[in-house]
Amino acid sequence: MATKPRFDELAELDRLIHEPARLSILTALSACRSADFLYLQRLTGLSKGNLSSHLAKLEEGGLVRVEKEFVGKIPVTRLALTRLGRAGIERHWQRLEALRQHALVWHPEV
Amino acid sequence: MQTVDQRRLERIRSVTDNYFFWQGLRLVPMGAALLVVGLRWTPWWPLVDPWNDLVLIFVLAIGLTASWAIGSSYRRTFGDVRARPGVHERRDTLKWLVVYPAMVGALVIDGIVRPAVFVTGPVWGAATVAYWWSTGRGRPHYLVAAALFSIYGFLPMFGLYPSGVAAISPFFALLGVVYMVGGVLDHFELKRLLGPVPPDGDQTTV
Repeated sequence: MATKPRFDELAELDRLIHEPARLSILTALSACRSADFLYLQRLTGLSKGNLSSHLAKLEEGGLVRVEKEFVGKIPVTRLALTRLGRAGIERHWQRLEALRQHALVWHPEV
Repeated sequence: MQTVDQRRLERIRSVTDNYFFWQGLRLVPMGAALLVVGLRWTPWWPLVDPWNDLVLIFVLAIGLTASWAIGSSYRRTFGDVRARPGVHERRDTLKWLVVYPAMVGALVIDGIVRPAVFVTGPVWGAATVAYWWSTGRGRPHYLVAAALFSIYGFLPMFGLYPSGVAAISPFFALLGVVYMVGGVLDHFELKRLLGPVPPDGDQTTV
């Protein structure tokens, strides 16, 4: 018997998280306590303006916390996941993994 | 439309988690220092006392200072990542309780017993694989380095090289070369993931 695909789950994936640049940002932040703006910029390849825009959306969604600090006289913007953000990205990864597993065993019904 | 590349995401996660270890150029001055230390007890060493100890201390001090300075340069060029505290407790425990004692133990065995095989080679090769495995994998040159160390260790079995104390000093020189080459290759891998900063005003969709 063919396994039913769970493509309906695709629609449930959080769009705020699933957008590729934001998913890269959240994935990186899930692997550390915090990262600065420059690291995320180099990681995503986004311009300052675009990265700021993505971060603003993530901050509005309560997924990311933005902190400003000074290293010597240079202002540095640091980003960290909130508790909600950490839970959200972990749940998202689990869903992606579940979908991947289903896609591996799925055969279309003839 | 951009798609989610799961392998890239996994690489992002592992590199961010092990950012310190991927800053390869930090290893280069340490490798140069190890190379000098390794050559110290070989026939190719050109200096005589009282310069020997002074030169070794100087080279190690320069190596550590340069490595620290390169770390600062990475922060300015590629950005800064703060690690999650306590996440790698298991790795640290294994490192201090198993890997380091095994590495020192192998050196002691080679120094005292002089077995048919240069034990330090395969043991440090295994330690290199453990390092590669626990710091985000990816960089295949560490597997090549591990193989090199192991081959070096088995050379005495075939009469191709001395074992025991005589093999330790050249081994450290080899280690220094591996640090330097591995460090440069680590750096290239990091650069591949962390691309250049694009100019403002590009048209990437938000």
